[in-house]
Amino acid sequence: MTYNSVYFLFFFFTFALFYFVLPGSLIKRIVILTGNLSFYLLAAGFRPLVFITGSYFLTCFVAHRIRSVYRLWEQESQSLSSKEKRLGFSQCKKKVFPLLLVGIILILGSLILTKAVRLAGGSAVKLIVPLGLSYYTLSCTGYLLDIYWGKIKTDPDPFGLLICITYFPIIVQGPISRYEKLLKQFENPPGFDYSRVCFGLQRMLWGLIKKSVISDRISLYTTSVFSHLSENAGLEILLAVLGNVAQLYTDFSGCMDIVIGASQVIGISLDENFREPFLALSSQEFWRRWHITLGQWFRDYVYMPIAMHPGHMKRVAAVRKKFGSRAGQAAASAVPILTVWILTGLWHGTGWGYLAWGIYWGLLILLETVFPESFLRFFKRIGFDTDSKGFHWLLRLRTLICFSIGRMLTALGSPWGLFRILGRLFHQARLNVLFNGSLFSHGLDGKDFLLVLAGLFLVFFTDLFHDIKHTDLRTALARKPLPIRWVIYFGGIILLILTGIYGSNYDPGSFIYGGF
Amino acid sequence: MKKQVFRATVFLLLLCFLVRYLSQVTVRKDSYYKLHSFFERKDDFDVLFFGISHTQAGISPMVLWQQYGITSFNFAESRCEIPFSYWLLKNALEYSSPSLVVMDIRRADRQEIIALDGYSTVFDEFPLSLVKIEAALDLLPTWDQRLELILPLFRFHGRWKELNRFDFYHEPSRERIDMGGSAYNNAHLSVAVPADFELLPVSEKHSPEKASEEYLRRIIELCQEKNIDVLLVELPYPADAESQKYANGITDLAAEYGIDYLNMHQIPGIVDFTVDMNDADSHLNDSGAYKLTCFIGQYLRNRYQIPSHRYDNQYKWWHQRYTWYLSHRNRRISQQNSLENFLMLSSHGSIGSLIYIPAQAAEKMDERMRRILMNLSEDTTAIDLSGIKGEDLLLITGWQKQVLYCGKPDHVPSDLSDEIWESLKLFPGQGSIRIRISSEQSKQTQTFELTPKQEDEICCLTKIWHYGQVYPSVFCFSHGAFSRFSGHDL
Repeated sequence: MTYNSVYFLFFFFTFALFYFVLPGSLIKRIVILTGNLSFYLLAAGFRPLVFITGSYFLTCFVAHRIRSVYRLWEQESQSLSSKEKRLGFSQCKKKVFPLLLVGIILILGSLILTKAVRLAGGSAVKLIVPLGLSYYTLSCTGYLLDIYWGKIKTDPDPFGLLICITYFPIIVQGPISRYEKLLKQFENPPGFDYSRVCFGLQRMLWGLIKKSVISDRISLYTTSVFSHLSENAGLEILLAVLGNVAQLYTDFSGCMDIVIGASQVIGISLDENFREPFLALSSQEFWRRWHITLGQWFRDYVYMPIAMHPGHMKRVAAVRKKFGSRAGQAAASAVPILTVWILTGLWHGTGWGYLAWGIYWGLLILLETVFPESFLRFFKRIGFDTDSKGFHWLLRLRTLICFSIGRMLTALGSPWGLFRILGRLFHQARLNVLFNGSLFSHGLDGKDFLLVLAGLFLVFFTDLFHDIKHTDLRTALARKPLPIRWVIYFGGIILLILTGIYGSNYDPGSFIYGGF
Repeated sequence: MKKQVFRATVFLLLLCFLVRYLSQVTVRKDSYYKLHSFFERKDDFDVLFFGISHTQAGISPMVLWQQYGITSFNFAESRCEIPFSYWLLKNALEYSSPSLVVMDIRRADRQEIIALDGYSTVFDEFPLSLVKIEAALDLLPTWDQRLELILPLFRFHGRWKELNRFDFYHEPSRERIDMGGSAYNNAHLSVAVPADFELLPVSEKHSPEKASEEYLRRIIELCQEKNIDVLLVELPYPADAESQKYANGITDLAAEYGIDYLNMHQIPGIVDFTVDMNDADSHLNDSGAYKLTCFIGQYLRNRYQIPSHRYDNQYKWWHQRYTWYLSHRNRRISQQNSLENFLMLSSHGSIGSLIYIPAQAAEKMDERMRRILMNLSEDTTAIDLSGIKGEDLLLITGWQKQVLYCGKPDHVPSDLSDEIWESLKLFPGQGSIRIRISSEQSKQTQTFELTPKQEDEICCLTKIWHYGQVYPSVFCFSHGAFSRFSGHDL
């Protein structure tokens, strides 16, 4: 049962019905937990459920142990000075550190083991990979670290934590949530609110359109072209590369729209994972807008601990003293950035392709960090107005190209795939495919192409609207007269029903980020 | 709050209408073409037929109506095996109350339910109901398939690219107007050379396999529960030994329930495999279907006293439908490119043929072609082709496949009359014959000359009746293939 399947809709509406009809916070919490477990069983079966409940008990146990030590210390330290408190807290941290380490190793261990087995060519080994392994392990780890660092000062609510870890909208593909935020919301789950429910449903519809109408349709073309790479060239490849980028964006952001919308229906607000990434002017900004929760997780739990580590800072200071401030800046950034990006690459997939992908993005971002103005200065020098809107669109084009190159590194499973794709791209122009009809022999006919173009235009338009107006399109729509709104809603529903890729005549794709 | 509830209700209602409309438009129309007559006349049916393609091609409810005034619907469809027939019957009985169900027992050899593509044709048009949902849950292994049977929109929504006006305005198909029955279209029509057939004694038998037996029993029990007679049938075709054994095995099951079973392998002479098969070892062509339907009609009349509604004013619709059916059938005759198919389709009680065969063509005629020619008559002995060597031959058939004349053109009586031909005047000449057809009803006289342009060209004057108009036309065939035509283009 994937989020874009009709079964999920059946499941969700049944769940929402029970959720709204049954009264009281406790009962609503029980309904959510029942929904979570039912979803997990329906989507993944019984055995993987053992793993996730194992992670829950582990997180709960470690969090409780750490909190009980801290609680004791908090009671004892009330009369101490702040310096003594700091010192004492450090000793407390040291005391619980082994437990935290074991906990994190055990929680992340399953993720690392899965990746390692796959890296060792163990695709033939049938592993029981729990649903959403890459997502809930990071959230659990983050939660434990926040407790360890003393950022969370409340004792974990075991029931709430169980709901958080298994919460069905986020379990498969995130967003990688801060349990602290979710726990607060689950304390008193909200009841029915007409406009909130409408907004949630609208967002789900938009997500389903992005996934089923646009992304899965593009995938028919890209799969066909990449699987017969040596027969295609020029324009066919260019469209496949750009299509692949559009496919990934509409797939993942579509999924986020579905799950955030679904969660909004029952009144639980989730973190946004996308903020119009292709309108970013630089790679750094792109990654602040694309898969935001993953970026934040790596920033908070990998980048910052490394960057702020006394040993690292001491070494940076030495470099700065010896080679100057720019070298110091490079040294300060290089280690944490490259570590984060290598880990991000490996999180996305195993194999050399993903390692190269991580290093590629790491280097790009490092370059931007160390030489922030050089690129703009160069263009200014040759006469460009770098503050103009036109130049900003050039920068966005650069972002798109950078992202496309990154995609090519992993599209064929190895980094050399990039060169194979580029080789075919420049082998021939093949502009004639536009006129002789052969463009339409890759799974999409003319009508499909037009539909994809119209769909991408719509996505682009909504992104632009959000970026410029800083407001939600749904809020703007809600101000329009009812007939206009309903025409749009019914139009969307008709579009989804008729042109969505589902049913036995199609092979609807699973979500790309569901496999991580 | 009231306003919001009202809005949400209106929205949901509109959404339901929208989904229903989209479903009507996008779902492939095969099921509509097959079943719309059933829903249109659901109170009329005395007999319902179920089975696979054998019955679909072999039983013509329109012939049954024309010959016996029996109102029937043929639910049989390609690959609609016994379990599917059971659920189809159960769905059909929600709408109709027949007095007899005829069940083809072919495919009694299934251990388990096999969901072959094609079942959607017989289910899609049935409105959503609990029985339909039960059918989906029972018959199909995956949730995707079940969902698609319950809500066909899930399967056919992708047709948005190929929608045409017929998808928006439902119009009955002229190809499928035989109350569910369906003859082969022109592209697949043939007079096949039959496979070898060796009749096994009834003592050699297999019991039906698990799934087939279970659902056959459920069919019988369902009918008995509703006081509907059941007739099990195995239709005639050159069956292999295994199929015959399964057919023989059904005798015990029928006896156990005290119901009738017609194992037509054991009843010789219903059809002639030489001329009545559309393919070597399974399906009948139009000629075979006509004979088989007449046989079954006679049996139903004698055994179950199924009444004739022919002169009942409430059943006028059926006369109108028969007109359509016959017109379509006759039109097909004019579209044939081979003499074999042309003669096979002409072998019908409502078509009159006048065939001029030059001596050279008669001499080249092989035994198979002679049998096809003899098939134009109800009584095959009435066409004696034994002494035709070296002579031109004239053959005239009329109403109900009566042979009006068979012999040398020179000896033909100058005046003939018949229900189809009305008044026929014949003027034989040297290597040709002139024919004058007069109709008192239309006060029209038309003259035709059959003159083979080549020595081996066979010329046929056929009186085709099409939507109340009679169109005599001349079709000529050389070396068995269509060579020329004169007359009214339908």
